[in-house]
Amino acid sequence: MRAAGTAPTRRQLLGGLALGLAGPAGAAWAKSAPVQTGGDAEVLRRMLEVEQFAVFAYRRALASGTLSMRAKPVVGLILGHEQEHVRMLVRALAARGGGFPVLPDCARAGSRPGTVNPCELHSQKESLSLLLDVEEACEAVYYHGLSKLRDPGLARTGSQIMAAEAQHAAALSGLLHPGQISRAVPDAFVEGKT
Amino acid sequence: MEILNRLLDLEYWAIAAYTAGIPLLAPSAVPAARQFLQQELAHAGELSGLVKQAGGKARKPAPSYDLGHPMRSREVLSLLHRIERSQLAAYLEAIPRLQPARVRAAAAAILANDAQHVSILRLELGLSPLPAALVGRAE
Repeated sequence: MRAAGTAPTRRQLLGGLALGLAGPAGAAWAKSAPVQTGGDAEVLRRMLEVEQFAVFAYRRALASGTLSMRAKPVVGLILGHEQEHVRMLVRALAARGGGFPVLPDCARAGSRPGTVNPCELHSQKESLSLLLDVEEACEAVYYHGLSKLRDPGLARTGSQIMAAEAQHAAALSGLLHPGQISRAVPDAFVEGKT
Repeated sequence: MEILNRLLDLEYWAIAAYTAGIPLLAPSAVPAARQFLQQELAHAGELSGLVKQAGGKARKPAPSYDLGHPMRSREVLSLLHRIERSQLAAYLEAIPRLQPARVRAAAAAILANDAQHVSILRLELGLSPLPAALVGRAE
């Protein structure tokens, strides 16, 4: 699944999304439409970009056939949450005239050798690890975005979503490492990982 | 400043509840509660630091807290759940009003951890750990 050498790791790729880096890492997963406006719209676009990738990754994990009967309903529930986040962000971004990110797909996700492809998941551990990384990337986007948002209402909603992503991460970690609370809720300050 | 001190008061309340409640918990719930107590202590330290950085005086814990009279493990878990929910509500009310923005992000980082506490406590209580797409809507 992952080539040696200079190919970016899954975490680096997700980090590219999290920080909105313009380099090849971020571009590997989602080529964004041109940004039309800055400020809150730009922050919202980054949030939407990572949420759209989350929906894509959850759908692929569910379709992969790798998930157990215990994991599948949890992953399905979280997918519903991520879809709701996307709907809210689309509405908020549309209201501000922001440019929408391009939707992720298998062709783009698998176009670079050595990158983790959500369309080629081979085990539950691989699927859940990918989803956990996605959640941590989402947390990072919201954490950094909250220090930039100007609209107080958006800041509240962003905080609510960020906290939900943290709950998702705890649930996924619980599936990956049953009974290990120190891994499910590892940090007093949830800032995500890039 | 007052907003941060109010959040700090709630952290002290949670610390008191975890400290008093852990000896009454079923053994299976103790490791999580101990970890959450350590995290609440870290939150209190962070908030105290933010108040001081802003030139204010961080409030101290109250001499005592009315925690009711929970006797059984489930009653303690319910108390902790109620307190953590109060924290979520307080942080969500505070965050849009906090300035500068880095303080808002710091508060959100604490809120997200408290949301994880709520999730695990709900699981222990037999409730859905992931009740809604937006935290604060259904906990």
